[in-house]
Amino acid sequence: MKKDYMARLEQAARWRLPREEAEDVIADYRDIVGTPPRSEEELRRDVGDPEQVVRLLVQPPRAYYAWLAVFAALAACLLAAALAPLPASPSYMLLKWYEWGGSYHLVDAPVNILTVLPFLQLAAGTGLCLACFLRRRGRAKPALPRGVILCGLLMLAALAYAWWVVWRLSADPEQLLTLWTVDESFIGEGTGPAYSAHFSSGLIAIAERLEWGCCALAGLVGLFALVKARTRDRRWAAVYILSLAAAVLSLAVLGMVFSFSDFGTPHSPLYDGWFRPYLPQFAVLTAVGLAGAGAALC
Amino acid sequence: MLKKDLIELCLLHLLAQGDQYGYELLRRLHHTFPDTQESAVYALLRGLCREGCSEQYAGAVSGGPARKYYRLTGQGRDKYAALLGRWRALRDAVAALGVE
Repeated sequence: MKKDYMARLEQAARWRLPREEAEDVIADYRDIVGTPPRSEEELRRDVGDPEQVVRLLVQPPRAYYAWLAVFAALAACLLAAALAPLPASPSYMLLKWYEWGGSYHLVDAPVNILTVLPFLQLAAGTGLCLACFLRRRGRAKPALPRGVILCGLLMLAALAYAWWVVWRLSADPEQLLTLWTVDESFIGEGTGPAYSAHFSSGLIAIAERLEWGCCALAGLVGLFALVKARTRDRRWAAVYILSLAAAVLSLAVLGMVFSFSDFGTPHSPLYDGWFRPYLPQFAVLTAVGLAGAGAALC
Repeated sequence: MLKKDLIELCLLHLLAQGDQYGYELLRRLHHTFPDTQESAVYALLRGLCREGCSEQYAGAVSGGPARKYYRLTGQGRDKYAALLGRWRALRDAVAALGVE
């Protein structure tokens, strides 16, 4: 029971207080809680509820509000990509708009908002995360938590999967072309050629759905890792960065898939090597994610 | 004078008598103010450290982990004197009303 009390207190302290202060408070409370040994009920009566104990120490709350702002920014970077499967999300609307030929008048593929946005999200999220969770000089480095390894491998698999989808699309564009049909309801003045994707069967359909799944999974794992990086081990930040990279890469790959409606551009699968302009973007997203995760583990 | 000020006065008074082990301070204050939880006293003690009225150091203990001790600073003595003055004025004012 007392272990539960201390575990809750440790979690609350690390969430609400700056790292150095949190460790100091935790050391003090180990002393307070342990001498003399008391039951959890006695602790709640004499010392107080763990969350309340920590709330008393968040005075002035500036540092805590600053952390909440950073957390919100990091979560926004991740969720902007991870929530793309939801029809109400801005990313989804962008994708649909793109699919309907909206980008035709914006910028030629592949340089468009759907390829620039993921890079900005990844750069901002990685930079902010590293600034928050970089190792303090002179700090001991305990063994890497097993959760970091497992979740990290899961997100590496998501990155690898995105590359596999790119490889499949580049190797077999005919299969993809047969899945596109002209949807006349979208053809109108000034809208350009409009096509609608019907990935209802075959490998591409599975690939597309799994990419949506990767976005959502990366969002969940990334948020979990962010909380863990604050309350447990700062190296969970590496998992957050990999999750962010997996989410934005999945979104970028989906952006490429949806861009096939621009059959009149040199980037349509009607042309040989249509996918090559996308590769540097995907490579940069992957490299930034891997390098950021490596730096977070140091 | 608020209860918070009164507890701070007591903390500073105990520290003025000599360096104190942190948990011992909490225990004594909780004993004196039983309806005040130890966490509230601890928060006030940390507040005094943050204001520079007291400072902490690790004291050597044979055969166990180092204990954290607190000592009064010059700023703490000034605050102690100010709070003591307010407490005496309040006590005299209450006594003048005939409250024993």
